[in-house]
Amino acid sequence: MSNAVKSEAADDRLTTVSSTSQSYGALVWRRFRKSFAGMMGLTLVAMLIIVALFADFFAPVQPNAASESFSPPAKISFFTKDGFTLRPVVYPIVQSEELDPVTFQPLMSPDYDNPRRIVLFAKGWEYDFWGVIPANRHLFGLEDGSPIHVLGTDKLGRDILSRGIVGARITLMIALTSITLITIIGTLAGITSGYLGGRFDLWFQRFVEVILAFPQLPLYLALTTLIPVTAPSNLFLAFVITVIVGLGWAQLSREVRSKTMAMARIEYVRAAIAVGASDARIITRHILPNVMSHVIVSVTLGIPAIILLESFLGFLGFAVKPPLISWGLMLQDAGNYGVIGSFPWILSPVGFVLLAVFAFNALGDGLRDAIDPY
Amino acid sequence: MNTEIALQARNIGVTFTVDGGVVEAVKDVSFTLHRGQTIALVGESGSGKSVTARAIMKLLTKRASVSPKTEIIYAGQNMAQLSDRDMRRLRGNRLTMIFQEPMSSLNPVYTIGSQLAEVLRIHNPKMKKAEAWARAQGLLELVQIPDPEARIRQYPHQLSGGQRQRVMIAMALANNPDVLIADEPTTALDVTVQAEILNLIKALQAKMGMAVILITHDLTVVRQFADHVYVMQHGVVREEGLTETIFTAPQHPYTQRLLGSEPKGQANPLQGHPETVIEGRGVRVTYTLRKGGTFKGHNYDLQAVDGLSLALKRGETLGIVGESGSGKTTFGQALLRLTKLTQGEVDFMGQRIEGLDRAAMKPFRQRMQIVFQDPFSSLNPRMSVRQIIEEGLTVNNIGTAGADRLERVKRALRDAGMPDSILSRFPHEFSGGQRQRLAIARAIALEPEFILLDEPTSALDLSVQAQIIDLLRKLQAEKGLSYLFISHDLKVVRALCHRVIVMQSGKIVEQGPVADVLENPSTEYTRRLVRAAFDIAT
Repeated sequence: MSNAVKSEAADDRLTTVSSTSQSYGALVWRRFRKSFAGMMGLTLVAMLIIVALFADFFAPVQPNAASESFSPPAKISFFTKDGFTLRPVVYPIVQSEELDPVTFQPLMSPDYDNPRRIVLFAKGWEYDFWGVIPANRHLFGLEDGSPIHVLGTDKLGRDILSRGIVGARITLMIALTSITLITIIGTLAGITSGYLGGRFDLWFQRFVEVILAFPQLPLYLALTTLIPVTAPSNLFLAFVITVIVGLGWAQLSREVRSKTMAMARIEYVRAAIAVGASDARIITRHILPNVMSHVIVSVTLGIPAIILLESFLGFLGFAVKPPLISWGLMLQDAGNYGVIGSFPWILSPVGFVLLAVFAFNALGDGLRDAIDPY
Repeated sequence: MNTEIALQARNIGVTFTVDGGVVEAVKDVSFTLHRGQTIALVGESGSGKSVTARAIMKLLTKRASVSPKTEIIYAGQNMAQLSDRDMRRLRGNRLTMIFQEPMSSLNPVYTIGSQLAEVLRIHNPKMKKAEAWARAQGLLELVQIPDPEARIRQYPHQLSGGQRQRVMIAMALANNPDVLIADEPTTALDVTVQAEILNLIKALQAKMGMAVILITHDLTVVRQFADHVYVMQHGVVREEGLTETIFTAPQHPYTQRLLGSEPKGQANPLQGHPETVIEGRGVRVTYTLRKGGTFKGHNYDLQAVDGLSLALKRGETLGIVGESGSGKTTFGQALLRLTKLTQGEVDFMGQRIEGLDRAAMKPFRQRMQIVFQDPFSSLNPRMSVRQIIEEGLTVNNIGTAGADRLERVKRALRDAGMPDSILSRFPHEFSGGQRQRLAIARAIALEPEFILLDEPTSALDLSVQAQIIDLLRKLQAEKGLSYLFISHDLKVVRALCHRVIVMQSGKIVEQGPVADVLENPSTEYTRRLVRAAFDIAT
């Protein structure tokens, strides 16, 4: 009999094809590696998360420290008075002797006599590393410890790059916390409803429909105004997450429900019933692992939507309250035509949002193609 | 037979690029096709027969590349060198193809008349619309669709599978082709419809003088319809010759094995008077369906299983046969309490089980098992072989410890004819036949007394089917198993069963010992099934 099995598989055309056994994870990774966009997304997402985790180290300037307001991005130069140098420098902007011929205000211009070198691992503002270890090293900074504004400053003179880096924390925290809760609630609700079916499913789906039918934006605005302005910012944050989750789980649960219903009719589930497996076992061992691939993809594609929502709500001033920093909150400053016209660098948080949304979308796309390797 | 050559193929070679290498799907296949002749490409799944056909029609996917040596001569030109544009002019016009699945080959949003007219007008741009429709109606008459005036305005879903395949044939014949390629034209159809379709092709061939390339795995079909046979294995033609020569004196060992794998033998006779394992009395399964809209509609009952009874003894195999939709699977699953019974009684080893809930059924579950038709959907793709087979042991607390369970899993694998070195591998790494062995291993690991076999061989190749039948017979002899064997293939039933029940529309139309029923069928329905299985052309 085992001879027969061998001859069944023996096909000399297939000798060139690798026949070693591979787990599900290995197969997905093999497919994923081939997708350029997916790999780029993965790299960017990894970088974003690292930057957010070590934000204090990456931010060259203390994010709430004020200096010259609306100062333009620093010009990094490879030339000094002595000629070309491999070590970049910036020139401090100082008031010159000359006056503007129209306004008679003193003109600001770079001081070419005092180049300040940019160095890696510079000493700068002091912070507590993850709130524990005191440190004062940063990825880069000026040699003499004075602030460097790579992307300029906002209206209160705060460094935009540093705020963007520290703001990634809150933005990603909101996005990841909400998506985790959405995933847990949506998957559980979807599987339960889809697997149990019958009357429970009928009524539960009407409830889901009501949630899906809510006009989301007015509801966000109405709900967020319920919170007193004086409430602590953490409470406010928790409330924003609650609202996002409360409205966000319904869509996922719908998708999971339909997947579950299809899955519950597949014969391996019947075979499990036939060996006497309980409902709990069928859900956790047979349905959940097969639904998970779909969930993972919709999660990665759901994160950008939350980042966008946060930036939008922040722009309207409903998401995060100072002194916390988020990308949406930073964009609030850009809500004025005159400001954008005169100080375009104030729009750079849009770039952060764009980058993050692109990174998660690319990752999700790559995963979607790779997740079903059979 | 005409000696004029319709199509000549030399050295067809096709390679596919896949993850981790290149697969040579077809190597140096050559054949000659005369006008009015039928040649058959025969082989098991993966033998490259469909790829050969698609290479002729230039319908291969982008991942395939045709070897430069390939020459396909039609009307004095080498089609392998033709541009896509020239090829489009030939395809669907001089050379046509019909496919296995008639549902997905027709566009569901157009009437069959407009689809037929479209084919006509693509290749005859001057033809008027009314003329094309008139011709389309003529084609429907040609393929013997009843009431063509009415049918021409219908949509594909309003036709049965057999009628849809007739429409596909009409479409293929619309422009009087010289060559018709039929790729498993009847595999998706019921056995009784199969004969009608093949006879239709044969009659039309005689009328129109076209050459036919028939691609199939079914040797009965080949013997009845082909003039010349090419036996393919692993992308190579192993043997070719006149049909009679191949069937009476096969030369190549593969051909011999293929011909020898027609199911044969019979069930081992029962010893003494064994006890009854499972008995159903007056089993009825009713589905309540709804007709019409929300307000005007009404519910009606569909009797899927209409008060049937059966009794199965230890060591016995009882076959249930019938066309698709006759309720045989529902009946089997109702006995196993996998489908809800509307009415009736089920005894298992003398205990009534029809009223038990899932928890109360649990002690019985390990004693009654099931093997499904499709080995691809019956194994969870995310579980390893060990997890799949061990599941029943874990759930039922069989075996004292991990080591003992592992030993049982290995034993079940060995009994099912699989090596026990595959424990950590996943189902997708195995072929259809091997997967079906895994499904059998899952069932026998629990050491059941009764197994419901729901068409366990119909998704498998002939030679694999023979191995599975041998395996089932061996396991029955060793372990004294009782089988309820559901099938539409009377050949397999004859080889495996002691008794047989013939079902139609939820009712038993005939039952008795296999030899009696198959040799002296008393109803027309059974006679049709028997004819379809054993001599298809009559």
